[in-house]
Amino acid sequence: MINKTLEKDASGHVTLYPEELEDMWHVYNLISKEDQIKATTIRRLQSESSTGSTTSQRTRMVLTITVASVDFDPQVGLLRINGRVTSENPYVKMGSYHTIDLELNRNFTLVKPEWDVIALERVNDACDVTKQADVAAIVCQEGLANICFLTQHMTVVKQRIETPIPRKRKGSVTNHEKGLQKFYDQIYQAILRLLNFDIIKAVIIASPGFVREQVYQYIFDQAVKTDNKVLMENRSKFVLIHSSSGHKHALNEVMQDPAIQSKLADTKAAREVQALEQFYTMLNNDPDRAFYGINHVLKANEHGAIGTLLVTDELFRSADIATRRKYVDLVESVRNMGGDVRVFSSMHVSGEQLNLLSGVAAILTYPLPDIEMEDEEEQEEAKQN
Amino acid sequence: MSRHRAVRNLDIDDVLEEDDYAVDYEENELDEMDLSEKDRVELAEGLAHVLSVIGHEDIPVSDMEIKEALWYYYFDREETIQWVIEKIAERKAEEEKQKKKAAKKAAKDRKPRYRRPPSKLYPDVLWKEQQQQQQEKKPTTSLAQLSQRPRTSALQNLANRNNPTTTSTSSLLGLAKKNNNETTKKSTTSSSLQSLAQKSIGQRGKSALQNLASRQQQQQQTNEDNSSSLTGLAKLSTDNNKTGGLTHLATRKTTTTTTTMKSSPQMNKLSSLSGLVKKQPLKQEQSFVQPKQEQKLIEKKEELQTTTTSIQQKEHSKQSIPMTTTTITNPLCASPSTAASFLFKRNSNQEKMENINILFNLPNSVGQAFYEAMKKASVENIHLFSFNDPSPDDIVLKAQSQPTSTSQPKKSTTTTTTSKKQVQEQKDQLSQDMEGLGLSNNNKQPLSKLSVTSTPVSTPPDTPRSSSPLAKVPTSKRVNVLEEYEKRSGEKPKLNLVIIGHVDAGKSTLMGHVLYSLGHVNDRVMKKYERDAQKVGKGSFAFAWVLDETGEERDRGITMDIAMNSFETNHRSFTLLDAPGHRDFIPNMISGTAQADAAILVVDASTGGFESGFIANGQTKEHAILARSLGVQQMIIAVNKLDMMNWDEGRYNEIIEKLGNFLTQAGFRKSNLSYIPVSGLTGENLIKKSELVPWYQGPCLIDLIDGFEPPIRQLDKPLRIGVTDFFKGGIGSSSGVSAGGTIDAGHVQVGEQLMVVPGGEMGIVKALQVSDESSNWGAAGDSVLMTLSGLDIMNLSSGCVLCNPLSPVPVTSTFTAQIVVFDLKVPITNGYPVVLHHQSLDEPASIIKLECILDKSTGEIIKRNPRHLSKGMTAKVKIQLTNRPIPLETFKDNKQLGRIMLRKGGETVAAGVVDEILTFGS
Repeated sequence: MINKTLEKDASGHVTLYPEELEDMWHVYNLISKEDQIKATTIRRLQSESSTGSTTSQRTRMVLTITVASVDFDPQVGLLRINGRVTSENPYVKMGSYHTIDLELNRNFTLVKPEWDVIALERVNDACDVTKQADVAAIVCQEGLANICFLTQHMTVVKQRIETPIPRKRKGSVTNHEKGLQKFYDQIYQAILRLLNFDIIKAVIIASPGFVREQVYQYIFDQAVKTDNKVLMENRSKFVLIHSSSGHKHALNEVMQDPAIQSKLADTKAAREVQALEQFYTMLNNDPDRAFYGINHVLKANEHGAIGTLLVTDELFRSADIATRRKYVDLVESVRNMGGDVRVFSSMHVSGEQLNLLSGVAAILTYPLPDIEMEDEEEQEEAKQN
Repeated sequence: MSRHRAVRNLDIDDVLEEDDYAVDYEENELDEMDLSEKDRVELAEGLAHVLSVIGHEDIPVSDMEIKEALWYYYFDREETIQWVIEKIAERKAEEEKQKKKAAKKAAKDRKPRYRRPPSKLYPDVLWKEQQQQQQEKKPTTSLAQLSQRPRTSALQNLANRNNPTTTSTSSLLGLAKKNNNETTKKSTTSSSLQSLAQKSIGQRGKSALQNLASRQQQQQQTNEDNSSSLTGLAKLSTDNNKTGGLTHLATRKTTTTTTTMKSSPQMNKLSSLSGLVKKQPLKQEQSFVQPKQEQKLIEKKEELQTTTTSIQQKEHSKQSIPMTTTTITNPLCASPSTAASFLFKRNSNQEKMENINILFNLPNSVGQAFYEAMKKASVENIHLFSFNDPSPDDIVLKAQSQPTSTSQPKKSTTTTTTSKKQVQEQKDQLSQDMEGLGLSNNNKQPLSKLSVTSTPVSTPPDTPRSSSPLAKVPTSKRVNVLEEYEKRSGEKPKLNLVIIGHVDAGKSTLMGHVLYSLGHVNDRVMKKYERDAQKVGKGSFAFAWVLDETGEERDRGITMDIAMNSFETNHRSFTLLDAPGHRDFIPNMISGTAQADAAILVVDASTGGFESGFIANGQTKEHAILARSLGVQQMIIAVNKLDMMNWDEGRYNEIIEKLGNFLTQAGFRKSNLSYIPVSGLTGENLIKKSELVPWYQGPCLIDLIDGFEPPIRQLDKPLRIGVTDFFKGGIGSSSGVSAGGTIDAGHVQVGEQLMVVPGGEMGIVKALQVSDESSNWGAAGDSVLMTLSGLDIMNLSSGCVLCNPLSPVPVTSTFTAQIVVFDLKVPITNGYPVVLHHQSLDEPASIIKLECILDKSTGEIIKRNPRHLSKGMTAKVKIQLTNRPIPLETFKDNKQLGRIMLRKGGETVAAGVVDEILTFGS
């Protein structure tokens, strides 16, 4: 963050300087429709000469636009913001459309008509350098590997490797073994290409069976063979953990492993997984104390019963101001009553899961068996009407 | 239009044309005019042979039919005899049915209902009858004449029947056999009906009638089941003792009184419905040839049928009452069915006997002969055979065999269509054969056979589908897979057998030892394994090395992936799938078990060994549940490592008791489970009984395996091969791509075009291996390895399905399924992430909506939109694939491809079947 100005009516502007991928994710979460963004951008200008021939020319300029839509590509960390130009410029007319590509290491200013709690928190969060923890995770099973980056707010699948491995056949296992070697080699190459050991604090290799050991062994066999010093030096960063499958959501299991909890202690991802786990346990043991779905949760909130609120950040990205408002109010109200609010990142596996669970869930401090009943009554009424 | 398309269109035309030919062909076959002289002689000789083997008198099957069979089996007499025997069984059942109908009509209105058919029929019949009475055995000369009128069989049969009984030539054995057949008929109508219903669903135009029929049939299935067990008993008793007429009758009586009384009205309904079902596809087919002309006729027939059905039903309920009286008054006498009792009554007051004659409207002379013969027969029966007489029954059955088929053409007024009607009748008959084959089913005939034998005749509508991919194969080189399959299953039916159980229970060792004992592993190799295993300090793993072939598996001493092997027992041929027991390799185990028909559950009996497999998340439990959910019904529980317990009987009993309770809970039928104490390491009780286990009375393992019933294969469905394995390079170092898997449905042959789903790429089968032996074709249930040309390896993926290009498997990413929730710690909610296992595929998926909780037994909805599902619930859920769509079929369409497993965190959370596919394509 470079500079922040807030007015009394909660409007104001913030100038930010994104340094890494994670920052882009924060920005993506900050920007909502109707906000204004001022950034340097490149626009192609077309001019017509007197003879009628056209020339086009790329010009660098600073533009302010009113956001209409935002796209985020987590793979490369690129944010594309589309909107109408609101500032006069010698080259660009007011009201014409422009798309700004926000890039890393380039300043921009975000003007919001209203900065709510969530947004401000997000800004503070993003600017807190101490909370950074980068972990790479390779989740694999025979023939399938997902190489992911885990950061505070994101789980990014950098590469998905899928190699068919022939089954063992009577009398011939060469095909099978060849396939395996090829598979390991692909993982090894991906590690070399993707992992930057300066940033990464740990590398998790998770798999069912013995694949992780095989992979680990292969990596260091190769490292020794090719005399790869970087890998050899970082050998201690590798952690082998059991998971039940090689799919991405096996990462949840990984997060629950005690061996990794100590390494990732207190990272957001780990905490989120725990909170969700807690919710599920509660749902199993005492279903009257765990609710999901906005209607149920709002009702529970009316009773002031919410102990922990789980909510995904996707809800705050809603294009509809009213919806966004509703969730922000909910969060504030829970906070005021002393409840704990966990904003899940929808880029994490746990967040994805919560998203499918309507995006909002609550663990109550005391049981409220009536909620479901009320709900049913209402439904019946609705039917009758 | 691309060139490719054009070619495909052409194919379809071709096929349609072919279809026409097929119909023509059948007609010609009947006329016998197109047969060459040589063929005719062959036929005649064949018939003589068959008759001499079967026994002349005994046959309710017309010579014409035998000839057809001969023709069909291409003069293979043995096959034909086999067929005729089946036929007799079926015919009797059918006769009984039809006789009832006829008798009822006779009782209802005395007036002749039907106009007589062309009188030309009668001389033939008369002549035939006389001939039979004189015991002339010159079928060869009569052949031509007889064959011209296949419908005369009804009357011929009458004659046939009368003679043996009057001359008391029918032996006890014969009677027993008949009885046997009759009883079995009842138990199997349901199964044959099912196959019929399935077939009819397969046809394009489904009629409401058919639907009704199939539904009806499902409802009554339960009734049938009850009776089948009883009748099965009866059957056994007859099989065993020739002279046990009495015992047989006793059992028979009980079964008939109990079952017939209660369920025969339904049965009757069933049979008439089955008739309808049968007719339906045939009619469609015919109308295809001659649509307009036939339309009206068909409608009429349909009407007729429905009316007769209703009459029949009404009548029957009345009849069951007199029947009870006879059974009470004459407790020792057979008095087998309603029909028989009906006949008794009629016989006693002769006046009514004429009803039957009236029904048949026979010219006087014939009628007289018939009548007299009948009277004589029944009188004699009552006097002589009162104890072991199912025959009154049979006499009438024979006498009136197929009144429906004779009466139908009579009733219709159009005379021009007679020949066509004959065709239809013929087909009708053939589809009845199908039913008959259903009967043979319970006579220890391989189940698979029946569905096959019937298919070539009854499913010509399938031809366009299955032959089009063969467009590139010259007609002369095409293989009639169904015929071939039938031939092969005459040898040994094929089964896929999976070995499951907890890790280190000794699965691989056990099967390795079995393979070694059967001589599939030569001594030299075995010695080498022993040496090498000892070298690495794992001497006891030598047998396991037969199946665990990769270096890693041997190093670690556990199986990691399915090992395939094949072996044969006396009556079966098996593809062996050795599953890994370790919990991390359950995906592999699922992929193997999905292909299996039967399983051996290996249990470690050593102290603590059994318990570790049987605790909450032990694999003994999980594997058993998975196997059940994947459609395995028959299982042998091999209690292994008993040598370490000094063959302690107490331990064995403790284990089988615990397991037995659990397995029945898991949904296995007690009768489908068998237990055996074995030792995989020392080889006790494997291929011969061990003296070390004096307290174990049962057969040895290999005999138990031999006793597995082969399942019914879905041969007539479009081709589906779930690819479990694929690699570059063809069989025998040829070029191309190889794909391996089990054929779930349909059949495939070399030269056929296949479509890979997802992707839709086409490939041509260049070479084919069935259970490691090269072959020209493969059919459902076979484990095949194929070399495909015209495909790139990139087109294949694990879990893809090879199928018939004309009816590809749907590809979907969202579907609803009915699931049963297993033991789990956290409840299932909306958005619950799971790994979906489908055949050999595992894909991440989410349960996106819980639609409703269902009642386990009734299937009724208990609660809509539940918030969560916990342990033991049955529910309907909507599932969405996270990454990519997968090929999937509903359980209705394909049992194997419609099963799914949901796992999470290394545990199986639910198993289910696909209900409805919601989105198609990617």
